[in-house]
Amino acid sequence: MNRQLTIFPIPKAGKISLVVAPRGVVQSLMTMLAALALRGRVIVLDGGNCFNGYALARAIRQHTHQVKDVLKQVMLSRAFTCYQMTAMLAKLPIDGTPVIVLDMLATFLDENVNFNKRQRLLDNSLNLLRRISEGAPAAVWARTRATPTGEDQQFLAPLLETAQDIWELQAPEIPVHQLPLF
Amino acid sequence: MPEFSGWLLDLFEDPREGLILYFIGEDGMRWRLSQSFPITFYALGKDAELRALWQHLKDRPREISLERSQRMDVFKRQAVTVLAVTINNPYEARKIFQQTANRFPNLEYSDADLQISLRFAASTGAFPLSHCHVVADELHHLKEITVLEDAWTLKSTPIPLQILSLSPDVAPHHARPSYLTVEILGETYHFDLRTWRPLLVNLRALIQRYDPDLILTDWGDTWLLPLLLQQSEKYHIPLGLNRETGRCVSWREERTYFSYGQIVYRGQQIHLFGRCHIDRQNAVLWNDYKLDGTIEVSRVTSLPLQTSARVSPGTGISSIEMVTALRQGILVPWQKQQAEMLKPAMDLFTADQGGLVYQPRIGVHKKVAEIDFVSLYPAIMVHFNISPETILPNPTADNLVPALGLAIDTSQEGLIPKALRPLLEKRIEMKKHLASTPTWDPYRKNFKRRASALKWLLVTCFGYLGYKNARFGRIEAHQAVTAYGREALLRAKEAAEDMGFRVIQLYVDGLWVQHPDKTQPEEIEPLLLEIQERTGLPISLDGIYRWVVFVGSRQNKKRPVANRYFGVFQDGSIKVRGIDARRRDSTPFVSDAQMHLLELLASKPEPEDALPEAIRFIRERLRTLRNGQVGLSDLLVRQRLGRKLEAYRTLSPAARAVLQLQAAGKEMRPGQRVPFLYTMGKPGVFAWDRPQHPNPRTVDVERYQRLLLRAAGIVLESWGLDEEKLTEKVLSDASQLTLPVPRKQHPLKHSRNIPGIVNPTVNPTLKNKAQ
Repeated sequence: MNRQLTIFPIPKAGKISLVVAPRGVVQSLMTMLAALALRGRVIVLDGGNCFNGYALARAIRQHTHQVKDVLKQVMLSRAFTCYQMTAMLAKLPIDGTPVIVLDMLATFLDENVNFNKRQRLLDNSLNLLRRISEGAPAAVWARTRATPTGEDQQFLAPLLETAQDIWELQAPEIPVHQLPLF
Repeated sequence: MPEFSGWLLDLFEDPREGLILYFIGEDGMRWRLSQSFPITFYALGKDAELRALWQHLKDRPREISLERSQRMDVFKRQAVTVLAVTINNPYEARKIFQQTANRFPNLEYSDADLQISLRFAASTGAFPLSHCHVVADELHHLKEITVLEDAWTLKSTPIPLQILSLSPDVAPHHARPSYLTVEILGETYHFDLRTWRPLLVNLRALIQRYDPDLILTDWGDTWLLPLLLQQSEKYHIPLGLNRETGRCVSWREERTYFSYGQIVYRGQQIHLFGRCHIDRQNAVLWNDYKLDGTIEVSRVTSLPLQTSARVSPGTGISSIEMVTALRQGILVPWQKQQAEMLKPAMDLFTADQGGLVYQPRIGVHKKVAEIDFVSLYPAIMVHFNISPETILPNPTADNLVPALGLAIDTSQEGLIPKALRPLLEKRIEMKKHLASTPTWDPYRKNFKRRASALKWLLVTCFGYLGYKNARFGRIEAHQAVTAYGREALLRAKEAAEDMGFRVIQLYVDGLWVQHPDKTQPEEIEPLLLEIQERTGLPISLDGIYRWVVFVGSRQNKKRPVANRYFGVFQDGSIKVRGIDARRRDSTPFVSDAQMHLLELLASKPEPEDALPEAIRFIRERLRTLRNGQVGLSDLLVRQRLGRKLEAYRTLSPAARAVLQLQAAGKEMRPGQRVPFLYTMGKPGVFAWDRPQHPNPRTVDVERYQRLLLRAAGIVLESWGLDEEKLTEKVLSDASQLTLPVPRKQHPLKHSRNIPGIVNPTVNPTLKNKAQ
């Protein structure tokens, strides 16, 4: 069978793995998530409402017929504000369960919240993540946007400093003009 | 000692007197009263941090009083210990709170940033524009206020508002206005905008003489009032826009935000003190419900009139919920921390669904009844007691939500149902009243507008339950509502099928059913009763169509689209959804023509009989287009700028029009609608608001022709005339009519003499061959 391979290694306890990539990486992340879920419980915190259940189910199906059982191993919660993201990280059990945070910075790039406050909440969140990663595998995906702003970089920098394993992926360049066919 | 009955017009914080209130007396008098109005916010957190906060604030007894207290936390479903911080002067509250929040960022805060009108409504029952009885002392301090009509009264006493209206002769972003029209009490004045001194003197005289309660403007927020204030300062002629002396007008910044997946722009705002200012061009849904609806929103939401005119219905709903929470002693969180419960990914497949849709069959259906649940989602919230605090995570209880691993606690009415119940009841009552009000009744319009305002509030209340910034939103409650909605629609479908109806379509809160023998409203009544019995939710007949057409999607004609249809009811009225006639971005030339075609089809007992006339009409419209007889304003396309210009990879027509405006020194923000014409050559558009006049000869006639034929094809394709056939028929026949005219000159040469206009005498087939 032509199994999908995860391009990222399975995260390990003791360090934070960071994937910096555009939205297209979700498929690969779901493959990695499937690999983790096959081993046991996984917690997913979704900051950008980008969890793709169908892609995950397909990735699981390549390994087992018991898709529903494996899907039940993935515990999901979505955060829509930076307050919620921080509160969720604070509430997570530190019991060795792997934690995957999807599009973590999306909630911190919310212009409705004061900049300093967002920075403070991001610092708090990273501290919490550090604490979680001491006893459990932790991986974070930071989404890169097509037209990044200065703020994107300001919020990405502390995340890059915190992570130990960093994977940076770039979207392929799209040619502005149609390439000649003949 | 003043004692009077009247209406509360405006209220705001004052640095010296606390709270200032302006009233319109029944006797025509205008009253300014004041009241000391201490306000309280609450801090929650760890004991050590609360103690630190207490120590920080305890030395300011003249300004602040502190108390340890218990308040209900709706998300924790229990009373929690809080530090109550009461600030004696409400004017200082915002500053003190901000200082506190900055110094103690790890504490949670509640009741911190609420509008003063909401607090006043919660503590006294009196809301903006409420009819009340007032008692004050000799110093005009408010002593007693009794509400005479509550916000849910169906027929409230009309408010004798004195309205001054100001509007320039032309939209200022389009061209430079030359005069200002001022209207008050049926009198109209025109002031020259080139001579500022007389304008300012005369306007000030009118304001002093009539002392208006409401200044109604066009572009007052974004252009007129800023300009008037600037000129007033330059010429040292104060206008007295505020009724409250010694206060400057209040400015609010422009903003762009996302709402229901669309980007929305709101211009800057200018608010007045002691009287109100509404800019009709910057007011929310003004075209839909005008001043009557805005007053209704103000009354039911407890937001001041000039605020209610400018906030989204979502903010209105939030205000109703906050007033209800304040009255119940429930904490209103400043920043909601509550996130979604951790749930298995498997549950997402069942829980995270929207409304139920059964796609219709494409084509014409005759004698179809459309029945809709009345305000389905709000009705579900009220009927099933759905609120953030009533959702139980452990499904052991009786009231299980269909297909979700959740249950609802029905032991006590939740906050959201409590807030929505009177609103929903008023809307249903108003709908009934409207149905029985004859068309000649002078109050019908007023009722219609107020009903529309209530409808918008109810429409948004469901979305607000899942909205990230909603104070009392909760995603599980949001999911429970759609789960009940799907269940209700399925039960309705079963009831219809059990009674012998054929279901044509299901769409979230409505169903389209057909029965060969049941074609009159009274014959549908038993079905309505049966559905109501099976679901517990109110349902009504929207109407019975003589015929209704469901059209396919633009991308794939064979694929049905649920909310794209048109039809004619038995009373001859037309209902249209999702086609050009309804879309705000289509040109009036196209949408009016499409609507006319529908009217033609509706005018005949059998729509087929209208086809020859329809084709004649399309030819006529194309002829006027080619002859340049269609007004340019009828060819305008108004598209929304979806993002900042630099975010476009390929510039849309709207973005290209914005580039032209930028070159002319005009700025546009995402969310703003950009009017433009399609023109020939590059860049293919002409921004309507450019200082230059468009050249009618450059209009892209071919493109407008295509748009018209496409719109006509959508309407006529069910009778065998899709866009392709219609194009063939209309264009070929048109050329036959003109070809017999003898000419000395070759028609192709002649056509080149009029660049940009396709000569109607040229046979398009010949022209194409020549190219």
